[in-house]
Amino acid sequence: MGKKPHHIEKTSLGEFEELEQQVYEAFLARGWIIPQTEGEVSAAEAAMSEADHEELPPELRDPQVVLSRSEGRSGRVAVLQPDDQDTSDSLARAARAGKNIPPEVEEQMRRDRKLAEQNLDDQ
Amino acid sequence: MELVQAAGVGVDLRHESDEDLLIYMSMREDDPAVARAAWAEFFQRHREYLYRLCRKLSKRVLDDAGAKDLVQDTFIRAYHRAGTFNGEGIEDPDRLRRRTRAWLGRIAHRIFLDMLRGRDGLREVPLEENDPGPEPEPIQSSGTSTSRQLLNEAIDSLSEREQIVLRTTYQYYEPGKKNQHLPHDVVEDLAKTLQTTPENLRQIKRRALRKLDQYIKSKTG
Repeated sequence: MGKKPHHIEKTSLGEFEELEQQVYEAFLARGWIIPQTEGEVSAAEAAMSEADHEELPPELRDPQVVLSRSEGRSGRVAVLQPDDQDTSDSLARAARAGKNIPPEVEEQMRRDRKLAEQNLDDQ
Repeated sequence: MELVQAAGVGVDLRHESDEDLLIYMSMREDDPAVARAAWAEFFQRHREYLYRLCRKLSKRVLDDAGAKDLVQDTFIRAYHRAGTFNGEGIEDPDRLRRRTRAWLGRIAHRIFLDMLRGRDGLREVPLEENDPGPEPEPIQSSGTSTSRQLLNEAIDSLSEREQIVLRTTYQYYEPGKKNQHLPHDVVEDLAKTLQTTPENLRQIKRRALRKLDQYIKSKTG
């Protein structure tokens, strides 16, 4: 079988549309799919009982160790979000001085982020 | 006062919101020390939640090491993609936590799909693929608790082969979307794993859904 033009396979089965939605929800409830919306997170948090508590493995106990691992691999994460330089400088200065970030700077930062996200969506 | 010492910075970020921590992380090139401290605080807040999810996910799909890798890679990618988080207009801390975890979940989901396809979670990818993307539209929960119980019984009654096909397919399911699609390489990988053809996978899925449907109908009259 040759590859489809866009390398995707249509999997919808119209006759089972409602059932498919229910299966998806059942898989979410079983923990077979990672929650990706606020509602799904809310349900997952509610379903997490103390009985399910598991000790964190040693590899996840020390943030420093995990981040060091990241830095060892940082060259492989090629995609970085360009930020507005002026806003970046203000935030960095505020952070260095241990001060709260001025609301107008935060607002500008949020606007820039939103604009960047819209640009991504438009691409 | 206990400071975030793990990152070697004398900055107390425990009372900062998730959104502010992510802002600090996005500023890492200007102030790496504060970004690292913000990441350490963020990691400690959410690691247990994500680890528990990944462990549950991993019991049948990933081994223990895979679950740990998924958690670590998710937080590492979150550090590098902190600027894509949008918590705008959310004042309620509980709601902001859920928004943050949903964003982390979308990152984890994408890495998980890469793992399933035998790729390194931190491979270089085009921007649009690497971005966790906007939160999907919320959906109304369908079905009553009785029908959910019956559906769970029906799922358990499926063969392992049918479950594998459904589990793989639904990793790519987008709620509310009319036309669902599965990447072609996933279809080919799955067909190879199950020693069948891509055409047969569609039939297996159809048969599995029909079985679920019939099971529920047989129990509810």
